[in-house]
Amino acid sequence: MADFESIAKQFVEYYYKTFDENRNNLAPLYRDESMLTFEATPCQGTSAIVSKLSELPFQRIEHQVATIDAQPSNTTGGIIVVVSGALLVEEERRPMSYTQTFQLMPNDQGSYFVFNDVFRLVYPAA
Amino acid sequence: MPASTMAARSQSPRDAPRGPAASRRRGGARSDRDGDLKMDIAVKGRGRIGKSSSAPSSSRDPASRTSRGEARGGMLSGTARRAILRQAAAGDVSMREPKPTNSRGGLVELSITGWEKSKASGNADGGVSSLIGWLEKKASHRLGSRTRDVKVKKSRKEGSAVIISVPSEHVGALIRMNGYEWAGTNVTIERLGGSKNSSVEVKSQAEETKAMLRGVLERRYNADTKVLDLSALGQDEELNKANVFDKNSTTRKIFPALMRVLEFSFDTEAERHAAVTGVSLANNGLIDLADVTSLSQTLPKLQNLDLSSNNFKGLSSLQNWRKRFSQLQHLVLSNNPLEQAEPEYPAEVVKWYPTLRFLNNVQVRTEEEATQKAAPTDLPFPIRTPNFQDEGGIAEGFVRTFFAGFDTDRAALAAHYYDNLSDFSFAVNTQAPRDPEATQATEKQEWDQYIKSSRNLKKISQPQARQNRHFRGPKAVADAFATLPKTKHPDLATEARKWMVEAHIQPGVPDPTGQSASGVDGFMITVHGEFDELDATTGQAGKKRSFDRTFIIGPGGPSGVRVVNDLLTLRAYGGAQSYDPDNFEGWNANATAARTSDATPDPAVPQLPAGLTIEMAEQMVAELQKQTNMTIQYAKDCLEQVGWDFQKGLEAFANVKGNLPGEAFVGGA
Repeated sequence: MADFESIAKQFVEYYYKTFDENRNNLAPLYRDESMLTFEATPCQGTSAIVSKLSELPFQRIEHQVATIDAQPSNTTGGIIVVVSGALLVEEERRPMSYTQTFQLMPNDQGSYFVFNDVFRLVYPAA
Repeated sequence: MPASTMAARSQSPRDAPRGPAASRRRGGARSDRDGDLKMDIAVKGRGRIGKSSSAPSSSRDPASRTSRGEARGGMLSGTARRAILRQAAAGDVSMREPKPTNSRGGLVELSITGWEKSKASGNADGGVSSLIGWLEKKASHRLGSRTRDVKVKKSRKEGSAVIISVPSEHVGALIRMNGYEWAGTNVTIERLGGSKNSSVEVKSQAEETKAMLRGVLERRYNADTKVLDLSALGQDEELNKANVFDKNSTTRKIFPALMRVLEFSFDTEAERHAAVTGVSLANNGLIDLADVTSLSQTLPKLQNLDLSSNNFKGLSSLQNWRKRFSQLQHLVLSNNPLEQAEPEYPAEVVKWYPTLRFLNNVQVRTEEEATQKAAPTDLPFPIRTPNFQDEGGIAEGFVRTFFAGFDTDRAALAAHYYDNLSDFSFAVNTQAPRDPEATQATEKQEWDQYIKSSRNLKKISQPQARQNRHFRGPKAVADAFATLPKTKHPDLATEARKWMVEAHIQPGVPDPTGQSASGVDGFMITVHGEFDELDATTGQAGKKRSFDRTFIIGPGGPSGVRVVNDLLTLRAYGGAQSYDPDNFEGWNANATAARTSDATPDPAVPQLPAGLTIEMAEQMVAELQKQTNMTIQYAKDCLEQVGWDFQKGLEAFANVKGNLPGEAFVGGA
């Protein structure tokens, strides 16, 4: 069993790789009780979350993760993960800064799903 | 994770329509029924901090869990508090059951009574269709803005009741309207069959407790002076007669429950503050504020406070309230040991409360001085976004106290909010883009003071190195805080635009009392903002930084709130444009515009001029409604058209009132 820090790091790498390749493939990471708050817009449930992400007004995106930090967050193996980094959208070369907080919960298969996901741009598009 | 937990998440109290009912509910003379209070508690309590995330466990007598000689102010008193609250709010119990007995296919049946004598009773159907139309419309709106689409799926008459079936997600919005006035009569709205389930015994017991507490509040409230006299609670005959509390520690247990009942007696904080401007806690034998600290959350804008004839030995025992009560005008501390122990205390107290006019009935500031000082604090808290779920001001109070404490006394802050299982860590993002105006030049080694403990898991891979940068417990947290440069954060009230704060109900937070294995409800709070570093010797503002901070908070600790997780990200100053609504629209605006058919509109936020809070707007609408008898919708439309100038609104009304349709007036539909 990996330690929570390694899990957090692996999760973050997998999440953004998938997001940047084809964000529709993020669906298995969410569940019906999952909650995403994307730039103040809340959505709940896998389908709502994935449609929210797929409707974002860009085709090409690249996440550049700058920091990852994580802590165990509850008695049932949950992990809270905080990421900060930059986004490059379409052909724009000026990065946008963002932070994202994930609350990961263990699922029955010895893996994790995203229970809560709060995304914020913290620096505007130029 | 029970399904109901998620229901609680989506049922933010801010989603619920809040009728500006101040005009009907001022003072203690609220024309409520028992069910009103009960249901308020049931709904509001759903997201309450400290509530068990698992099946209800509150059926036991709270007294049986409370050992007598327990240390005051510690976790056990938190246990007692929660036990009492659970009991006081046990309307909650049945709501938390994953499958309500009366839920069919996602529909929940509600019973509406008290509607028969309405002005619409002359209608062919006795007013039923009109009633249902009103229920749908009213539950769909908040401050006149349509925020949801509530539909009554089925309805039938059963004796004097109308039974309606609504989707479970709208139950909260409807039950919040219990006791509202419709067409000249107050209607009662409650769950059908709620009392037939297994928790009937608990409920009736809880009902008794609540009724008793409400009785205590009513008896001790003076509507003329607006003072709530909570002095000498230990000698209260009714409380003693009720015999539900251990007499040796009455205040400790009963006080939070009283505050809870007080909160649930009003729809909004504004109503509460209009009704109660003064509180006396005299003669309660208090040695510190641990038992009564919830007062500052329930009534943060209190003007008059009497703490005389207690057992406060020094100002340190009042420290918890130092930054609270931003509008305090009169404070009485006489007849406490601190008078002898710290005779110079008045000067310090006057500093604590910039709006204070009288201390121990001696004038300490003139009206002008106090008003001058008061001006900035009247401004709003920046977090009134659709994504700020709060309960009783807990999350808001935490954010306010936390950042003030982080700037002034981090050691005290760590002792206040962190316990042996609290985690803190931080990471420095050295690559973050800078402020576009480049007011903060890059310097070499500018992160030196931070980098030694920066726990960026991307860079720190050795388990021991990670461990060393993970601070657990008040001592380690305080030590880590002490290594960080001194800070000054912008004022939350006056510089709201420099902050972005969101809060979400967070289920499954560890319960320090161990009563609930699957945890209790707390909050996840995300804060984005900036601070100035202060020079350690001169105190001069130095470099400006931006930060992001995520907290998970839960119940426990001496203050009733403990930090479970605290993760801080530090980065170069990047400005606040990304969360300033005037400068940056973000992706949502684009995305919304790009979509042609939008099935899930974003939560509607009323368009208000700068400086006008939702609460202020609600008060204006309520007042205009009261003076004109127009409906909320018309009153709000009217104010919108005149740019929220109340006087102009009245004039506009006078000009057009002859032409307004019947539906523009309350009960005139």
